[in-house]
Amino acid sequence: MSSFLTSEEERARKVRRRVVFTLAAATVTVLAVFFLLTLRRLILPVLIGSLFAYICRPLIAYLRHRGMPGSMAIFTLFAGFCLLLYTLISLGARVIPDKKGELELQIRARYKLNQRYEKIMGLDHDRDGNIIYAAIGREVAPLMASIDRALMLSAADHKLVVAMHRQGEGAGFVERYWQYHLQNRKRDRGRIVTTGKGQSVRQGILFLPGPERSGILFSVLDAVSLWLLTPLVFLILLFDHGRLRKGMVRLVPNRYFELTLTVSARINQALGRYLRGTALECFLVGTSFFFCFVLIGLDLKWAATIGIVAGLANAIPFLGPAIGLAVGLLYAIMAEDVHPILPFSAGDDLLLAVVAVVALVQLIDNALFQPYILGGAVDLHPLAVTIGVIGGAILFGFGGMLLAVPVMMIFRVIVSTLFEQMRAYQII
Amino acid sequence: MWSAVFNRDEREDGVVALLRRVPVFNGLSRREIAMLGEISHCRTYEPGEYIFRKGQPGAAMFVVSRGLVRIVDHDLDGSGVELAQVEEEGFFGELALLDDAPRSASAQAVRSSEIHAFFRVDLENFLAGMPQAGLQVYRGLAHVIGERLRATNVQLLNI
Repeated sequence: MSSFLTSEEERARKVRRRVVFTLAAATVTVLAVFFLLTLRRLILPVLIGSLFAYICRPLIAYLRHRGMPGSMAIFTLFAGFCLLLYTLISLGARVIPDKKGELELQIRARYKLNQRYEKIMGLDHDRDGNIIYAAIGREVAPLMASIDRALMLSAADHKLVVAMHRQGEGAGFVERYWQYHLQNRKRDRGRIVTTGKGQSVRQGILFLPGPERSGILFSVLDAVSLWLLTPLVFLILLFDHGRLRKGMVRLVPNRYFELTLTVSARINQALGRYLRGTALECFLVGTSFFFCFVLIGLDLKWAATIGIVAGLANAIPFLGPAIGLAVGLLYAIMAEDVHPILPFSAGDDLLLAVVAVVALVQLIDNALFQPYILGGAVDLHPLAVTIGVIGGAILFGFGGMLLAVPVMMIFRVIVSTLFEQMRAYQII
Repeated sequence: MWSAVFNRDEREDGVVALLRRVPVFNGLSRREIAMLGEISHCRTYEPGEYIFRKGQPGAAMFVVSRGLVRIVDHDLDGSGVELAQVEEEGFFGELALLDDAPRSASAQAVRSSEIHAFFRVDLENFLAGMPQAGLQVYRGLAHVIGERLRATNVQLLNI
């Protein structure tokens, strides 16, 4: 068609084309930023679905290469995922307590936490505190007070506990927790006597208002409906067979076509190496936690739950081990009737044993898993990782922390490869 | 969504028909060719537009679907020497499938052309999962490169 145009017309056409492309790019950028900000809550479910599809793509390719039709391969994989999810939800449902169990846990946590705190600080048996209390007591006390307040029962829950206790031992409340509850109540009354200067009795008793059930229900439904996007995105991207990528490449001018493919291949390689490495590392860390926790006396159900949480959290640099430690310590504080396979982790030693387990698993992770599995997959400066993770947390919360490293890695690969390839293609 | 999932794209059928006629892909089954079509990128070039230039890193092989492409080398004075013309169903830039060495010549569209490109990494990934098909493709490629080398030798002898 352009052969009918004079050179002057051809030049004018090029200018017009440049203006149209620039305007289109600017409009798309503005719209992308607008939607990114307004639909921020959708980003995480969509990204997780995309990441799963990305991870599963080689598996689908393998099944198709083995002769399985594409649709059947995808449905087989999706069915496998549903089964895995069902198993995890079943495990979760067993771990998540019912109302009675929730109350027992709350009472037990509060009682044990205070008991251990007083013992460590030397405040038990009417003592005035030991050297630790003298050193950090003033700083730790407000934190403990706020945790204690968070664990307090609401007025409605207190009535429920009393009613359950009246029902009798079989169907009602376990006697031990009833005793804990009485101790907690005694502590509340004690607080009125010791700290009640100017405080009203209502504040002293510290019955908390009951939670707004409808609010929680609505927020849970809201979150669930958002996360329904994840399997949908997963399925759509798998059925896409690379059409989306091809469509995006089609938008690239011919001059940059091979360059774009080269850059995307490098990103694909780096991201694939990171995701596969991280997934394997998280699995090994979680499994190590599980076996070590079983050795120090945690029952299988809790060892598996904490292992899964600590393993998943391990994907977050720096903060992951802290999350594993926090969850482990929380359980150790509340644990009762521990029967360790190893002899030294009973009773009060369980806290130390959990710290030792976290330290040991981190040592194995740093010395063995990371060098051999991840290798040089994450070649980012620790300062950049720290700032990136904190920035991700500020912008997108937990998901932001999780996705900070892969996003930074993609950015780094784009910048380094783009400049190298633009020179090679004589563009700059 | 379901129509997008199960309906066949007419354009994809066209790619399959084209690839079946390309000698390098001769030994592949219809299913393998269809899967190969999924990794091809369709590009259109205006007359005079370069597909690639000599010296640029080679990353893709091209199959001409419609139009005409000439392979040119440039003399020291900058004038172009036409080495070959590639018509419909012909292919060029196949050396890029072997390594990322710089292009030995430039490719320029003579007419408005539609060209299917195969990116080396995509093709390697595809063939890695199908060793038998990989063997067929690389054998076909070796055959074509050998033929072109022989033709070059004859041209050299005639100089």
